[in-house]
Amino acid sequence: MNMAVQQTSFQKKSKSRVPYIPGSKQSIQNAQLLVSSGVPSFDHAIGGGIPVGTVVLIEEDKYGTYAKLLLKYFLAEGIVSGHSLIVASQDSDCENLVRELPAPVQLDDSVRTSDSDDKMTIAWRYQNMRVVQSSPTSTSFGHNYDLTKSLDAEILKAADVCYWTGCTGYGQSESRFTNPAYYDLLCTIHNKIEEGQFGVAASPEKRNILRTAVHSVGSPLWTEETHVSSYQQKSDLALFFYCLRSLIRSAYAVCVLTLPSHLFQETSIIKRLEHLCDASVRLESFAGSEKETNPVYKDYHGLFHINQLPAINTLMSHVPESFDLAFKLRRKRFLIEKLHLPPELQETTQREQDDLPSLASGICGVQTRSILDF
Amino acid sequence: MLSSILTGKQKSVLVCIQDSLEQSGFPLLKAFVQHAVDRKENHVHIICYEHPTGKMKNGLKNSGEDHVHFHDCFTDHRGWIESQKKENIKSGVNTRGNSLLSVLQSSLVTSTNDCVVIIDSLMPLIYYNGFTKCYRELHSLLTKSVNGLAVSQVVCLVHKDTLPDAHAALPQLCHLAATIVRVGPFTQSSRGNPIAHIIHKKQGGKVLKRAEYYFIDADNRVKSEDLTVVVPTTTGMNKEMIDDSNLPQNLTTFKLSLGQQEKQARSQLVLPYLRRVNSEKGGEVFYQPDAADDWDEEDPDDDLDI
Repeated sequence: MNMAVQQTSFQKKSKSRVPYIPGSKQSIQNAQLLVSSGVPSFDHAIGGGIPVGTVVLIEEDKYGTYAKLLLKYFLAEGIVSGHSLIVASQDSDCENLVRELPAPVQLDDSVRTSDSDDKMTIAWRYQNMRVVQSSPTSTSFGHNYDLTKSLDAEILKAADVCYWTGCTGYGQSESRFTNPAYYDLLCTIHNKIEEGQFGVAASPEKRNILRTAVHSVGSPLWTEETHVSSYQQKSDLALFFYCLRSLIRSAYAVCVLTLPSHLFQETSIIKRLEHLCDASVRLESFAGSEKETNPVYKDYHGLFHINQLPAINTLMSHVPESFDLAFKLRRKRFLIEKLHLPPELQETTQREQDDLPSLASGICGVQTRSILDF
Repeated sequence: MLSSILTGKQKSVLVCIQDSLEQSGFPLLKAFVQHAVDRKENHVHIICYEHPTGKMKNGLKNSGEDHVHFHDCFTDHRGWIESQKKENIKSGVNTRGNSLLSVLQSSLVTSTNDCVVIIDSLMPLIYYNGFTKCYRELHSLLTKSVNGLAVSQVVCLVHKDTLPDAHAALPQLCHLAATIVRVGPFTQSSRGNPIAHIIHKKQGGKVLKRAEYYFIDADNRVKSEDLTVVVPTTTGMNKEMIDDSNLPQNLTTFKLSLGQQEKQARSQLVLPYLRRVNSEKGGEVFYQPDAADDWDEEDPDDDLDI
């Protein structure tokens, strides 16, 4: 009898609260529903994936190429998983963007097994050290994409994609935005959530996820030719982020925005926008900068900075192993890795990268040497 | 680099030449016009805001051909002469030349090929319409087809020293442009020729940066060469020192390197910190007493009960 009571008190959780939606998984840490960003190493860096209901901000690299690429991966993953999409941009042609989406590809990981035949003679104690895994190898969640192949036109035709390329004419009399473009985009997203029953309260036959991608938000093309000061225009952008976040949070939706933050003069606005997002990362490309030729960075295409990570329904956000991250682009994968220094092979006392910076230190060095000589 | 952009070998959708009062970019723009005219592939529209069309035509070869179109927005700027006439005052201000699109639309040239648009200066447009509107117009010019004209390339000139809000506007312009040519006055290393700093964004996302000095001849042909600036760097100094004097090999008469045989001998030497895999069980003491050794026959520990 007593046993029976104990059995009833312990109930196996047979039915999960979280509905199963293709292309999503539950987080191991906090049972949050996650979707893949389309880049497995990006998912790994931000804690397994993008939590549903969050807004992710990607601050663009100077020439915008890698940020646009991340957006493409995000959209391609949505199409492959059968999600609904909203693509918004004023800078580039949205339909073209979708047409150029890369096709998924299966990578064979067998090549990566390294042979451990070469025995160490002197430093033999290091032989049994575990190999440092700087990027995840398993691709059970999310896909890799081949940039040279574009997604099949038939699949694209079947996908539910909604484009926004500028004002579509939503009434803007009562809105609090001075810039109609932001209001218009918000209305578009809101309507899509209503129509497609993506809201948390709605009960559609089959749950699906809405992926919203906004390319280059706040670029010069978004500003209006009004006589309002630029600060007012920028605070319009912050208001847009604020409304967007509440909109996305109450729906089965995720939103990724790219922001050309290098065009912004006021850093306070950028900080404000970072605050208004759930996750915020910044790409720093080496293209056209001095770091391109720096030997430290020769294996990478840029640095990946994490400003903020999503913490929803939890007190603590995911803490990545390292914040020193760099990315490199291969034809079949976009890799975000822990930044490793290259092995020092030269027998100089100084390291190569130490020589680079300033002339002043060189002069200083010469001076100290002369003192020593005496 | 400069010449490959001029000839179209390096595709560039929007070339933005930035000059200042010290060094005019007008000759370079003229060279762009000449190259576009000589290519004869597309119609060339030259919109003159800052100079009379005569100045552009002067010295330009083949400027009278069919595929070259000049648009004069300089004389009667914004139609102020026209608007003095009575009938025009009633109908409002004539806004001729107010926007790039209207200028191109007014020309009744249609062709299947793309066209090249060259603007002698963007400044009057920026002054009157504001930078954002001008930016939008440039962007729409490049993305949408105007009146059946699809634009394949826009070349424009900007005086960067007179640009209002230059600290915000210049990066935005650079963001839009595929190629930025910053023209500057000569320095010592350019042999009296003006210098062009070029940033070219390739389609694939690669970015090329060059500094070149250029020379424009009477036929509006550009010769350019890489600018080699002699900057004494600390790395160069260090390398030299290492190469010459600091290497001990050059200083001593001792043989410091190892030969093949010596290396082999070294590798066979068993060092105390090496791991010995196939050693026998138990230990052994090898000791050979020498003549001076004081060998005690008695066991010093015989009183102990071990």
